[in-house]
Amino acid sequence: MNSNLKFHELTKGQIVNQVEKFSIKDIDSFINFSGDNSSIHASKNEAESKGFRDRVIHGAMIISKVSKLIGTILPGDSALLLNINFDFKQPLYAEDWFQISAKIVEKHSSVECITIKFDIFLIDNNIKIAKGSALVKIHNA
Amino acid sequence: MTKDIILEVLTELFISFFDEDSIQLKIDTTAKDIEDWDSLAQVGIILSIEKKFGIKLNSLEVGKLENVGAMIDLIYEKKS
Repeated sequence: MNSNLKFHELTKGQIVNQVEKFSIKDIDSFINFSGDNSSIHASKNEAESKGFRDRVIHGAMIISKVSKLIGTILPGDSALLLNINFDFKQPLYAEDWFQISAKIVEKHSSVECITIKFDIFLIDNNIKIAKGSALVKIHNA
Repeated sequence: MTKDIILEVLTELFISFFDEDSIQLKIDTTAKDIEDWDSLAQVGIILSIEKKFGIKLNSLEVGKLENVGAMIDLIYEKKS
């Protein structure tokens, strides 16, 4: 069941962690519905020829898991995503377990919004693969 | 900071926010006068105002803002 946190239930400094993994099937599904069949995502050989060890997970797929965290946990059903920014640092591959760490860094009481900072890293070796932030309106406040 | 200067700074802020050079704010300008000024844009405007002027507003104050003149009065009060 999704969270449905109200503005007053959210605290600056609050942290939520979520562990995720993608499969090759997930990449193929994303290629099918997004149309992004760029060779580094669609072809193992092409990806390897460009220096990657396998097909690279689309950055937008990673952000889809950030969306899941916002829409189901922090804050959950009360979320309305207004802005999101991400930097991608390292490639992510299928079957890599990764953790999304979300921290509320600002509460904007004037407009009942929160700014959430995200760090995304590989579980195995702690290498950071992406970082970013989002502005989320709490619409049941 | 005078109210005239606040109006100038607000005008620059709106031009930048809406990416529309033709915006000329007046004290009686309302959301109806600027095409893209909807409730979501209002969130961004308020956050930009807080950052630009180094002030913190609350939801009650924001809810009472009926036009640019009211914005200027509130910013002036907070900066005084």
